[in-house]
This record gives sequence, C-alpha cells and structure tokens, in this order.
Amino acid sequence: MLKVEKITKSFGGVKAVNNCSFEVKKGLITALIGPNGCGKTTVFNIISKVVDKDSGSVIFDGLDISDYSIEKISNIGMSRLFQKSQLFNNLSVEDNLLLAIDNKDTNLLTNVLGINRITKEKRALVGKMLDLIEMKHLKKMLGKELSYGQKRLVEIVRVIINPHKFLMFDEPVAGVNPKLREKISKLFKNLKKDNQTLLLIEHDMNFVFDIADEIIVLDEGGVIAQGTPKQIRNNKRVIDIYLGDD
Amino acid sequence: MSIILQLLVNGIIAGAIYSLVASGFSLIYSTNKFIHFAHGAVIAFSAYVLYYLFSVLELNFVLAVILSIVFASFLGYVMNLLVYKQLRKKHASYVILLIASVGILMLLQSLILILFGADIKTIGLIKITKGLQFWGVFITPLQILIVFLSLILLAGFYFFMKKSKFGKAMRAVSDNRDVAEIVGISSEKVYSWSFIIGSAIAGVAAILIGLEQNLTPTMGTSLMIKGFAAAIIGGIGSTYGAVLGAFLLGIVENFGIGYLPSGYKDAIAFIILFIFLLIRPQGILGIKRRS
Amino acid sequence: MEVYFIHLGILIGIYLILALSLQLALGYTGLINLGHIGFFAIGAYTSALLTLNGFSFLFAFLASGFIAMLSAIILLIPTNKLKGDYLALATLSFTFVVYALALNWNSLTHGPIGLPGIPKPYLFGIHFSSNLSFLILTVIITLASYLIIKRIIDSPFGRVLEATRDNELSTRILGKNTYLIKLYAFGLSAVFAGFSGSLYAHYITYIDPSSFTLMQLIPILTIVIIGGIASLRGTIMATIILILLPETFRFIGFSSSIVGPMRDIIYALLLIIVLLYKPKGFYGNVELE
Repeated sequence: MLKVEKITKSFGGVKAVNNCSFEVKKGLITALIGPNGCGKTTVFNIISKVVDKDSGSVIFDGLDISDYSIEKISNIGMSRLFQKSQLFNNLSVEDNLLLAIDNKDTNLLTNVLGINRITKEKRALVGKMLDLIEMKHLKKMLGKELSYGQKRLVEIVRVIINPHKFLMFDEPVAGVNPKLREKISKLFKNLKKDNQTLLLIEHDMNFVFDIADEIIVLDEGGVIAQGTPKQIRNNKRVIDIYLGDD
Repeated sequence: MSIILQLLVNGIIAGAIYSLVASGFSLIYSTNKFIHFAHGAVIAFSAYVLYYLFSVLELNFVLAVILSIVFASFLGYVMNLLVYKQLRKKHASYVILLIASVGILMLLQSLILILFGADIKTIGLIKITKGLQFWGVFITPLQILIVFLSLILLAGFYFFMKKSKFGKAMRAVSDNRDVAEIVGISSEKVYSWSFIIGSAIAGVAAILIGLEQNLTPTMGTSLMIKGFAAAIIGGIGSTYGAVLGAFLLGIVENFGIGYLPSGYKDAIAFIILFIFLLIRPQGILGIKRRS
Repeated sequence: MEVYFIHLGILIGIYLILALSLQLALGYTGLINLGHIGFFAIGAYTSALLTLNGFSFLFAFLASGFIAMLSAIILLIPTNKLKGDYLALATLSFTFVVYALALNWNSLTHGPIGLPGIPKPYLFGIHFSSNLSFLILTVIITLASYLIIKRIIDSPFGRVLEATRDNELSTRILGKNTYLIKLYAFGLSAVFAGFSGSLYAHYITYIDPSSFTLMQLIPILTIVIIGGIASLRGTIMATIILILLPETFRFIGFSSSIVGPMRDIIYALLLIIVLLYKPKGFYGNVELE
C-alpha cells in the first residue's frame, strides 16, 4: 500500500535518512523500530510531508505523493499521530474529535449560512469512540486539562476517527501506564480485525512483538532487516544493534 | 559628481547615527532574544532630558551630557527590572515581550508629550553651523564628530565584546543560555547589564541626534524603525550586521530622496524593512535568529 | 450633555467593531496582527475619497471594507510563513507603510493637510446629519458586525479557526488548508476594520494621517487582551470600560491638551499591567502565544 523508495534526507551535515526503502503491505500492522536517532520519525515526517526529502519517492496506493501538500496527503487517506502531543489545547475533547470528522468546515460560506452543520450522526460517532476508550464523561474537558495518558488516548482516537485508508502512529504507547497500554493494544487489534493498515514507530518491544505482523528495522537512516517478529527476534544483527540479549 | 558625493556623505552621516541606535538595540536583542522596541523611547527621552538640563536649567554642557547618558542607562535598566524580567519569570513568549515593549514605547512617548509639549525643541549648543567644504561636499564639524564618535564607540564596543570577560559572558548567554547557566553565568545579571550598556549607547546616540536634529515627541518611534530596519538588513543578532545595515540604510535613504520627494525618506526605511522581513529575514550577513 | 453621551456611544460603536475584528484575527485565529490600524486607515481614506468625489455612501462604505480586505490578502500572502514575533513585525511595518503613504502621497491623500469636509452619510433616502441619527446608524452597523462575527465563531468554521490558532500543524494533518483559513479570517477581520474606518471618517468629517499611527493601535490591543483572548463578551465589556474610563479625566479638570496623552498613558499602562498580571484577561481562557 505504501512504498518508500531510496529516500535521503540530511540536516546540516548529518544524514538522517540514507537511501531508505521499504514497503508496507495492506491489511497488516507494520512496526518501524531501531535505535534512537536512526531516522524513524524523519521517515514519518517525510511520508506525511512535514519535512521535505532530499531525494527518493513515496508511493501510496500507486500514486507518487512526493509533491503533495500536508493537507492533500491527509485527504487521500493518510492519518497520522505525532510523537509529541499535538492536541488542540484550548478546545474540548469533543471539539478535537469533531474537527477530525468534519471535512466541510473550511468553507466559510456554507458554515456561516448554516448549510454545514455538525449533525447528530457526527456527534453520535464521537460519542461512540469516546465510549470505546471510556472517556465519554470527559468530552467537554479542554485539551490542556487532560493528563498525559488521556491526551494520548484522545489523540489516537482522533487519528482513527479521521477518515483514512492508512494509519501512522509515532510512539503511541510512549510513557503510558500498563493499563492504558493494554487498552491501546486492544484498539489496534480491533483495527486489524477490521482489515485496516497500520504503520507504527515504537520502542516498547513487548508491545511491538505482541501486535505487529511485520517489523522493519532501521539503523543510521537505512533498513537493515525486515520480517516477521519471530524472524527479527532471531536476527543477530538486530540483536547486536538494538534488542540486546534477552 | 559632487552631488553624488554629497549624497554619499549625507548617507554616511545618517548611517553613523543609525548605527548608534542599531548597535545598542542589537546588543540587547542578541542577548535577550526579543525585540525591545522601547529602545527608541530611551533615546527620545534622553534627548529631552539633555534639552531640559542644558537648554532649560542651563547646566554645564558636559555635566548635562553625562547626566543624560546615565539617565538613559538607568531608564533601560528599570524597564528590564520592572517589566521584562517579570514577564520572563512567567515564561512570556517573544511576542508578548514585543507587545509589552511597544506599550512602553507609547507610554514614554505620551509622557514626553505631557511633560514637554508637542512643539519642536532644539538644543542650541552650536548657534551657527557653518559648513566646511571638502571636494565640493558640505559637512559640518558636528557631523564629522558624529561619524568619528560612532566609529570609535563601535570599535571600543567590538573590543569589549571580544576581549573582556563580561563580553564573553554575554556571548555565552546569547548562544546558549542554559549551558551558560550551568557554567555559573547568571543570565539575569547578563540581561540586566545588556540593558545598562545598550541603553547607555542609546544615550550617546540621543546626545548626537539631539544636537544634529530637532526634538519631537515621536522621534523615538521613527528612530526605532530606522534602527530596527538597519539591524534586520544587516542581520539581526549580529552587532556588526547592525552597523553594516545602518550605513547601507543611511546611504540608500539619501540616494532615494535624490529621486523621490523628501517626505518619503522615512517611508523608504519602512518599505526596505518590510521587504527584508519577507524575503531575507536573516539579513545580509545571514545570521541565524534563534536555534 | 446629551450630545456628549451620543458622542461616547458612537465612539464605543466604532471601537467595538475594530476590537471585535481584531479579536477574530488575533484571538480566534492566532494571527499576531499589529497592522490592524492600517486597515482602519485604508477604510477611512477609501470612504472619504469616494464620497468626496461624488460616490454614494453605500458604495463608499462597501468599498472601504472591500479595499481593506484586498490589502489584507496582499499582506498575508507573503507573510504567511513568518512566525510569531516576525509576523508581528511585518504587520507593524504595514501600519508604518500605510501611515507613510498617507503622509506623503499628496496627490491622493493630501498628505498632512488631510481630507476635510467629508459628507455625512446619505443612505436609503435618509440624511444622517444629526448626531442622534448617526448614533442609530452606528448601532445598526455595530450590531450587524457583532452578529456576523458571532455567527462565524459559533459555526464549525469558528472551531477550525481556533484549531489553527492552537496548533496549525495538527490542523493541516487533519486535511484542512490552513493557508486558506487564515486568508479568510484575516480578510474578514480587515473588512470590518475598513467599515469601522468608514464610520469614523464620516463621523469626524475630517481625517489626517495622525489618526492612524501605532498609538491608535494600543487601545484596541489593550481591549482585546484585557477582555480576554477569544471572548466576545470580554471584548464588549472591555471596550465600554476603556472608552468611558478616561472620560472621567475631563471631569477632574485636566486641560484638553493633557487628556489625550493622559488617555494614551492609561491605555499603555493597562496593556503592560494586564500582560504582567492577567494575561488571559478577564473573560478569556486562552493565553496569547
């Protein structure tokens, strides 16, 4: 579904991503792992166009999206979570989610004339998602009033509720307590049952080995291994560089 | 030919004045990292203080000059103490600091209006400004003094920043505040001193400008635009850049009014500032603003 | 005495439109616009010049909003990529550029002499020459402006504006074109500032560049911040209080030449104090970034 071909990116004199190529298959959960600074988030940023690559191409569903804008990439079906919290802090949880569903809210005229309205269906969908994560009672709370774990959860839900074909999560369970991690793991497994495609970056290896169908290992900006969790777990090079002896 | 030379000389004189404004401002900016717009008010107020001490109270000129410069320094120090330091404690953004400084500028400008009135004042030190003539170019002794003084001041300033312990501390805080604090440099102290020194330079600028031009309550604002434009053109965050930008601005301005009506002189600075902000905000020397 | 209160009412109306429109751009969309007075000036001069040259008030009024909007778009397009304080500076320079043009473009604006004799509005067969009738006109236009702005804020579009303010990257990642959103918000903000300028010109019947300097921005900025970022109610309260408060000076017996600068000092002081001690303002829940 997503193909990344020979992308390269340097910041100043440092080569963050070096001739990186990999493919993400449809309907699977793929994890991108590797030591700190190996270029994972940069790859994500290049795919979602937050950062411009130096060379190479990104192909999504057969389309070369190298020149698309951030908005366009989202609109063709990519939905992404950031490592750092990017909630709308002064808006309520409900508003944060409504913004993700409503794709007609940027037209000034229709909104002022009342043609575009937040319908009961949209509110119901938001309510359902909030029920799923047991946060319905918090729907009027402002983003900045939430705890770290709550913020993370709302953001993950926001990514999912955003109409999409492809989901990207950058460290979804970083710094969350085990109970929450379990919730998120369940959420992802349900998405997989739904035949959705996920690409995630994670350091939490238990989480990764539990949930991923395919693992891609990055080091110093390039792919050094790709395969099933079992294969990766036994890959000597990966153990040396990253996993360490069990 | 002599017209071009005259315009050039006028440009250099203007540039010298602007460089005094811009260098004090630039020192404060490179240390504190925000745009201290009220710097213009420090200059204006100090010029009026000189006027008051010398032309109204009829104090000895040298004494009046010294007092005015001390006043300027003190005013800058107080601004930092009462407003900027407190805002910094609350982690105010650079935008808020800028808005606060605009508020201070307007406050002082209105104060000048109330205390001194709106009419134009002159510091009548040199009654007859008889111009000297070199190669067909007119220049007054005061103007020559201005150019010399500004060059001396800037040279002295350069050595201070490069060689003195304090100059090094200032550059440390300017480069990386957290690391500087770790090695024991008090950033608040450095900030304080940047205002004291930067405003003292403003005081010197005030004296020279006050002698060369007339005093109006709004002179602070227009000088600040020029000073700031100079700093941006040359490369904000670098004092050499500010000086370079100042001379360039002075020269472009004066050549500009060779072709445009003279009323547009101020407008030229605003427009150049605007263009640089859009196309090359890091200025000619290309100094990175903040990491 | 009655005339005095009518005068205050008109002033409150004009300032309220200016403050609400700045609130739309600054408080709701997060655009640090220090050039708002420039739009006010453009509106005033457009309306004055058109009516002085025989055009109807209706046309002039609408044109003042339209031209202000155009200049806002022209201003935003190159400055879109500027961040925080640099955007503030670029918009600040805009105020100065407009002032410089007003001061020097003698053939158009008559420079420092200004434009006297601006006719009172003649609209739908009514000549709004008396102060009372002008007050009624002002109230109608102010109310309409408030209602339109409130409608925008309460709609889903208003939500997108606030999202853009809070986190532009996030908004784009959700597929929304923030460049367009900002263009809309900025342009609209300018339209109302232009209308306000037109009202001002036709009320005072004389304009010159000195009414459109940085000094005039301070009260508007103070109102928006004191009332509270992203609070329409706060803006209304703050406008009323800030217009009425300095008027008490007249009664204490200060001379007229002092009242003006005294008022400016109060505004500047208030601005600094609010930034120091109550940056969210009185009705706001959002801090200026």
